[in-house]
Amino acid sequence: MMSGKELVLAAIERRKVERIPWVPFCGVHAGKLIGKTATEFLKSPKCIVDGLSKAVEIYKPDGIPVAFDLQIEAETFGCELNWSDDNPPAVISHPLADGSIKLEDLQIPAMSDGRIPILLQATRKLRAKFPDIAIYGLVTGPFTLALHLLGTDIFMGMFDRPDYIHDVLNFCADVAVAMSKMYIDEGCDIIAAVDPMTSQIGPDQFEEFCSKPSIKLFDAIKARNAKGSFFVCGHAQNNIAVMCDCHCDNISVDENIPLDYVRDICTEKKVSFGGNMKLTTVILLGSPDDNKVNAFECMELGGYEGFILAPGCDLPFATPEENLMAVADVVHDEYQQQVAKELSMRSTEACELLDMSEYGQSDKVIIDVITLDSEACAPCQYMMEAVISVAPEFGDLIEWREHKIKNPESITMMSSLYVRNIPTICIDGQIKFVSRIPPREELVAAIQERIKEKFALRIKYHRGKIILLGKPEDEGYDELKQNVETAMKELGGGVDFVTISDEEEIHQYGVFKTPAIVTEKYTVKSTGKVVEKNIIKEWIKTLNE
Amino acid sequence: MSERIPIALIAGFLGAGKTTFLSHILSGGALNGKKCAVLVNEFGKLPIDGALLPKGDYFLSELNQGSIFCVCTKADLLKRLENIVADIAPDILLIEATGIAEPSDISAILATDALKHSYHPGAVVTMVDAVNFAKLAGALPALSAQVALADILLVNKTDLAPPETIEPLEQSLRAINPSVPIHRVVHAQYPFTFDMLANPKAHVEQYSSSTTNPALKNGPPEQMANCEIRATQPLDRKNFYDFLNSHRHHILRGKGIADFGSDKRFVEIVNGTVSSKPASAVGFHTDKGTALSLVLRDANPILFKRDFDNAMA
Repeated sequence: MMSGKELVLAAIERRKVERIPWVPFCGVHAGKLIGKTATEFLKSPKCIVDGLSKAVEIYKPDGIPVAFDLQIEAETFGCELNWSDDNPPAVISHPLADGSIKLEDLQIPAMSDGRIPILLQATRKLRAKFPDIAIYGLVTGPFTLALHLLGTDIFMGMFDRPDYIHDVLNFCADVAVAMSKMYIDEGCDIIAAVDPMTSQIGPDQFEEFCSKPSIKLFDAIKARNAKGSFFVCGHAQNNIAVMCDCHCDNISVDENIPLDYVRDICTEKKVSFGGNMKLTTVILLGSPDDNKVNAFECMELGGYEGFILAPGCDLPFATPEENLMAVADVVHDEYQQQVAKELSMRSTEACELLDMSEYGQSDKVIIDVITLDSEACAPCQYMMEAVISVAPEFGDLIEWREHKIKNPESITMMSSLYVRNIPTICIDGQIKFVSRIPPREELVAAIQERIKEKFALRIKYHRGKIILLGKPEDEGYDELKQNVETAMKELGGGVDFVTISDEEEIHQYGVFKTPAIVTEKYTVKSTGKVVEKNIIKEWIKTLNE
Repeated sequence: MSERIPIALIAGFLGAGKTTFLSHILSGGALNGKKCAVLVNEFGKLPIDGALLPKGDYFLSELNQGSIFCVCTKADLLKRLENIVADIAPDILLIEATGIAEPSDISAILATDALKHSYHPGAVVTMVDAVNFAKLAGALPALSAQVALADILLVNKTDLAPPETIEPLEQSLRAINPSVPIHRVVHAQYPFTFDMLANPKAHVEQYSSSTTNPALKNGPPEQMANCEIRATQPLDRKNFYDFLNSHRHHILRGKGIADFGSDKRFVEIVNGTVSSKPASAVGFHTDKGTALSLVLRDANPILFKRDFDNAMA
């Protein structure tokens, strides 16, 4: 069986693997696992080793990053940091922008600068402790480091003084090359160039400013026989192809880009890929089952060649441990994958448009209110209140339902009703009030009108049959027949008269003594078309009432 | 249900005038004695923005400590919003969004179970820098996102931009968001009222544009609309996802089947983020091709469908 490290490297080289490798990006979250703040964690090699050891124990990863802290390089250049208990530190001053230092005076960091020794020491210990797990060294990508140095001046600078920006980015690439070398020398298998801020620029600017520095970095990583992974997060879909052209071995993305989109581009470009579990809505805020489903869905898209399962970015400090343990279960246990598959199926309903042509044929008048969510949208709330307040006047004659379009099945309902705006009130499938809260009288009038219509329709489509069972020789048969015919004539029709004399047929009505009368009432529900199963079910339900 | 707190989001790129605008709101009469909280979420230069705001009777909270990772995890924002409800309970919360944020990222947070009962979205006011927008917009995707999701656009610094450039600028803004009211302003001055910030949809008339916009003559702007997109031929996956990505600011929700030939997928879209699973795995077997139901925001479904057909052709 392959070790975790072998699995990760095989996936990065796009070889087929027996199991999809899993790399949780435990940054300061590993500190939380051992009861340390983010600040304590990132300033102590012992905390980093202890925290990640705990992560290895409970999350059963195939690879781990040493520290997810993109401020390490910036700090050595004098960028001021704002430390936090539950986040990596933030850069709050930009030396190249405030004039405190010039580009030509900046030096490539040495092993002894800033917190670099802490990171290197932690790397060394983790390497020795976990020979079978892939170790990722994280370096700040050139564009993100340049942003730390220049602040947001970089965006205007790309237009106003592009040569200078090229120089800054080239320097930042040199820094990343130097950092990579240190990490590789301490035993890192993979260098991840983390460059989230490239998601702020389009592919043209990426090619103009970022491609060359990135190629320089990944070529240097390759020259040292390590693997290079390019991390991005945010809305970077348009940049994936140009990122692949930067000589990296792997691309890692977050949930803002569909994984099959990344897979297809990476496969074409012969680059492996990883990602993209949902960081906030699932990993931080979801349940263990949500995490199982999300992991399974990523694995299904990623496949067994060239894919690494990972969260979209650095894990939030407060990530619930049971969520990542649930992911580990899915990764390591085929039975859990089946469970996740079942959960995934259950969380979805198929979504064909409903045939609504027969909608509104039940005895009650149905009032559908399509809302975003009446608890989260004021107009929706007022519209629901309007409906609820008139409902008691009609008692059992009406039934109201709210369809919140945050639920997928409600979108099907909305489409099927051809509702285009929210909120909208439909009465028996007909759009009546659009984005406007009807005054009480108007709403009552609209419902009454439909009740009247329905009554008229009922008379039109309801037919009756009166059946005379028996034979002419039965005593009283002729007289009874005469009475029925006269009664029908006096009432003016609308009812069919049938006689049945076959004994077996008569017995089917439960009648054994003739003459006898049976009446039947039936309703024409549809003509000349195939009716949706769900609607027929509704009809059957009313027959059983 | 207790009263939910409206959130007005002030968006716009760096230097567009968000802080100046916020200063006017806080020092002028717009808030009319209402209890106000301010959340400043600017990238990389705090606490400068906080220091620029006028002193006054409001509660200031600074987010992210300037962290760039507002683009990834929203844990901080979530926690801060929960604290503001518990500790301050203001009548309105004004958020000065980081210049590189996409407003939809914040909307996604407001829709979470933890916050949806506490807040409701108020106005998205986007500041547009008349001098630099045209230059930056092509290169920086967040700018278009901020315009696409705005309830009102303030084209600021019109006194500094060459007069002949303003009209073309407004046309390019309309191309991104056809129905939004646009106002030309100087020094980020615009006479907002509390209600306009808290309930933008109810104040369409007050918002109505100072410049002519034929779209507005046909009544209030389309807010949300339903749209069916269909294709009988298998789709090219890259084209399909590129289309969704380029239109993501207009797609509030969506679901349906995307037919990529041998791979038919059940696709769901929530706040512009796409996820998918095999159609067969969810019990959906079809030979009818692609069919998706989308809920659009501020987009014309007919034009949207046409764009889709063109993109897939």
